[in-house]
Amino acid sequence: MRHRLSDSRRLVTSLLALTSALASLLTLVPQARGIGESTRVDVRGVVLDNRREEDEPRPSARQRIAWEARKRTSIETRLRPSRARLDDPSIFETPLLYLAGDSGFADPSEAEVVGLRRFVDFGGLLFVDDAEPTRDAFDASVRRLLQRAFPTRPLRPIPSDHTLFRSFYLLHGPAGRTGGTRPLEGIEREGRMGVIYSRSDMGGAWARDNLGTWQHAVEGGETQRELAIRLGVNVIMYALCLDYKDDQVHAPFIMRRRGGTP
Amino acid sequence: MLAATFLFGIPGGAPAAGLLLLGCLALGWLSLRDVVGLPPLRKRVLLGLRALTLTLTLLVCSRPGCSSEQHETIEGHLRVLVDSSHSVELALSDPSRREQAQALMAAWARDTAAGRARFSRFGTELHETSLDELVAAYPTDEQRSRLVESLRRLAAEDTELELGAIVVVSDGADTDVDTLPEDFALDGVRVHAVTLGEDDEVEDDAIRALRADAVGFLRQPMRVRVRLGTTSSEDRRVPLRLWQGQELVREQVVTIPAGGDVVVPLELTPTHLGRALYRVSIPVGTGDAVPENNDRSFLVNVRRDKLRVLLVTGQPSWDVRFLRVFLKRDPAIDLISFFILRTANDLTMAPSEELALIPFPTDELFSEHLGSFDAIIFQNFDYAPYEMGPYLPRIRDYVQRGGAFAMVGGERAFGPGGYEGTPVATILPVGVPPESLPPERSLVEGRFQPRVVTANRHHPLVALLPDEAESLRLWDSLSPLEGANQVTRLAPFGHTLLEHPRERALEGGPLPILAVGQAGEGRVLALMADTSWRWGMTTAGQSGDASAYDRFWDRALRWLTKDPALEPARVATDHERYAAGGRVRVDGVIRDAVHEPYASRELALLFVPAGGEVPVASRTITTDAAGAFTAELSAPDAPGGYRVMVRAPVDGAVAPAVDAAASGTASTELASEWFIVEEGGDELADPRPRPELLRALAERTGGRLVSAASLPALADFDTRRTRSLGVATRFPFESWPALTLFVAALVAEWAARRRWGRR
Repeated sequence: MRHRLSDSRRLVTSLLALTSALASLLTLVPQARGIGESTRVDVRGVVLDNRREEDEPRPSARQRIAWEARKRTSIETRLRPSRARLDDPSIFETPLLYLAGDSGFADPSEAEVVGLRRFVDFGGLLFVDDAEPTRDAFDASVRRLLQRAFPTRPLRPIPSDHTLFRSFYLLHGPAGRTGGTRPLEGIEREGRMGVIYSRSDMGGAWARDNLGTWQHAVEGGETQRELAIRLGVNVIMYALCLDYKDDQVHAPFIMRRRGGTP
Repeated sequence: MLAATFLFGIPGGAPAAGLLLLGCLALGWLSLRDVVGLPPLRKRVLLGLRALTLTLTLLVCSRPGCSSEQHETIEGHLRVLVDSSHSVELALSDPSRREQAQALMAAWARDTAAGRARFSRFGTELHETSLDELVAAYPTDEQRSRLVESLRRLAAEDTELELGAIVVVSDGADTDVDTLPEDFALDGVRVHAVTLGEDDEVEDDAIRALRADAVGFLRQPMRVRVRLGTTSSEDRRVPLRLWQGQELVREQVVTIPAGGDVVVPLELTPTHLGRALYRVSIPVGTGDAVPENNDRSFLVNVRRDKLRVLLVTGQPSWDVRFLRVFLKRDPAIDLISFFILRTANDLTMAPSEELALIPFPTDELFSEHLGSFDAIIFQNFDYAPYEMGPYLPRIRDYVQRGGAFAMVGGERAFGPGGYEGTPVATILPVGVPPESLPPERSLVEGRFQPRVVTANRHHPLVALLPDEAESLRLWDSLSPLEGANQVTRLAPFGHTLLEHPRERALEGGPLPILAVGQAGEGRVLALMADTSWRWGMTTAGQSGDASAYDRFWDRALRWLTKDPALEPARVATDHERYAAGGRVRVDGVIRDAVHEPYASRELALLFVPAGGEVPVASRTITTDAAGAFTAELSAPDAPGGYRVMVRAPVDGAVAPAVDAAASGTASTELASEWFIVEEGGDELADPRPRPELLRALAERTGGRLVSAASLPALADFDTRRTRSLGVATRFPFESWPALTLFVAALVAEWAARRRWGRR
């Protein structure tokens, strides 16, 4: 079930989004300060089939969501996200991986499968985004990969009351470029999500060109784009905070805002 | 003695015998038909013979018998059991109980029968002795009276069943039992009781009993039950006081009913880990017969129920994420965490009701609940944007009173966090550079492998493995850290455990990466990096082992919160309570603040009374290469709480300074532990004699009760013992005469029937 913002909020949100777009055009990329760029949160892309970055379906998506997360939250992100193969030991240098695609891919090697399994087992989070959910080629490849890496832990739908939907923004469900109502799916590992899988092309809703223009129309309009961005921010926040928002101290506040009883 | 029991030896017992009886009756009834037509005389003869035959068949085959216990009475040996407990020492009448006993033993020394008796004395334990020894020196210093238990042990030693009687000389004030247990029996051994002090009149208010759990939990209220009693014929109103050391914790007025007891619950809340000494007392009134029982000390081993940790972070990061996961995973940790998810500069693009953000409850955390935390961690957290300046003195005071504080690095910690010149900077083990310092000077970029400082390699935060070399190899194998916070220098009370391999601190010397220290009563830790998570996940990616990260933070928390197992110097006594003058065995291991052993050092071992400074006993000890030692001292004579303490001379000198240490001056305390010397305790809790227990003993065993004042002769005590020989079973018809009679009856009947034409 999809939830829309109220009309007045939609107007405010649209104005804010417009302001954000203008700001992104006019403002220089914030200067990295501090201990080092490499310690910042990197929305690292997964390299499959030795594909080049420009061959990714939404090449700017990771950069845009990293920018949004930095602008909207206190998270320090790398504004030029890196890429790595699953069999590259450097995947253990940053615990968030982003895998997007719009077509099927060849079955990864055993080393890559083992790399993915160890990455998740040791604390990493793989976010998978199907950029072409109307076709099943990418979906089939992803499910084969996950089946090989986690044979005893199948993908399961993530309920709308999961912490993921309130790690920063209060959301009611998934959102992306497409208007489908497919729930997010995930693989749990020791009480946390090790894999999150979206079939709504969230990257499509995030992507902008160098001039700040949205690259893809979103079926639900700008409100849905904003929800998709918020969900992307929540995913990054979840990777860093996990179930922090489930702590007892947060419950009364969040329940009140959701209209429930603490 | 068991009563006789009837039984049937036939397999199947009484039911089988019943069936047999029915069979015999049936045969008898058939016999009546068989003699029809015979002359009356022959009929009576044949029926008589048949009845005899069937009766004998029934008796021989069913094997009726009876079981009964067999006894014999013998003249047994005599043992004399003399009360050696402290209550005999009480001088409550003239002559006193002790004088009565001594007079009795002096009389027995002239008695020839005494040569045939064996003597023992009892108190806490049972001791073999002789009459000569008792006459020469009659010890009455035992802190318990275990009369009933001692009698049982004496009887159990009598494996040859030669003991005839035990003569008990006692006031009957058994500290273990109030009345004679129902199952008390000594297998025929008589107990003759000679009472001491049965006419004593005692005026006494007392703490009769004190029940406190041996274990309590830090900051968790616990309850102590105190039973107060009086021998007064009027109700008594007394103030009952609870002390911790010299500090009065609680006081309440209690009414003790005339001649009775009252149980009073008292609540206390332990505030420090380890052994804590408490004391309850009531005033000593005029004419109070036993002042010693108006004061009782007790120890509580205070443990931690759950570690309560406050984690505050300035922004989400991988370091924050992994530390929180570690803290949440441990069920022994109660974690309160606050992450700053949005700063004033962030544009959330949403009204607040669409955000899952909550206000940062600074006042609640740092004013109301600050003292409830065992440890506070500031992880890459800058206080200023949250108007926390007024709370920083509270954090400093919290640490100096015994709390724990850790600052973990990052762009918002130490210098960039604006802590220079704040109260928090005074408790950090490193000097904080000014906030105005440009980032390129206040932060160090690049990867580096932190180096364990050799001098401090034994500290538990870096000695992660039992073997020193393996531990150092482990640190070399961990994934490098990335970036570090600059500091000006190491604080005077700080110790650097890890240092940067290349960078220098702003005021010189290697840049500390991990430093610890003791600030007042509390402990502090500074980790000048925000990538310790790489010791977990990144290292695991290389080696498959992520445990070093967990082990480090586990040690860090336990050290910060003073886990006794990680204390550098420890001393322990073999018991918590001792009698006056008892042997106290002390074991310890002494290391300095960075866990370097005090190897082969002469130190002073002292007993210092609670609330005092001047030792009452001391000796010099010498540690081994690991800093360990074992020593024995005599417990002080005066009752009360004491600390066993190890001190070292301040100037590091050895033997000559020990005297100074023993005097309590010019020395530093390295380790200490509480113990109790208890003169009164349960033994003097109720000083009244209990002749009723002695009477019950005599009546139950067939002995007699006499007063010591009558000086009974040993020869007058009955030492005959009726002892059991076991259970015997007899079957009277399982004998040759019975069988012969049975066969004869059969033959006679057969012959008669043949002669008179019957088959």
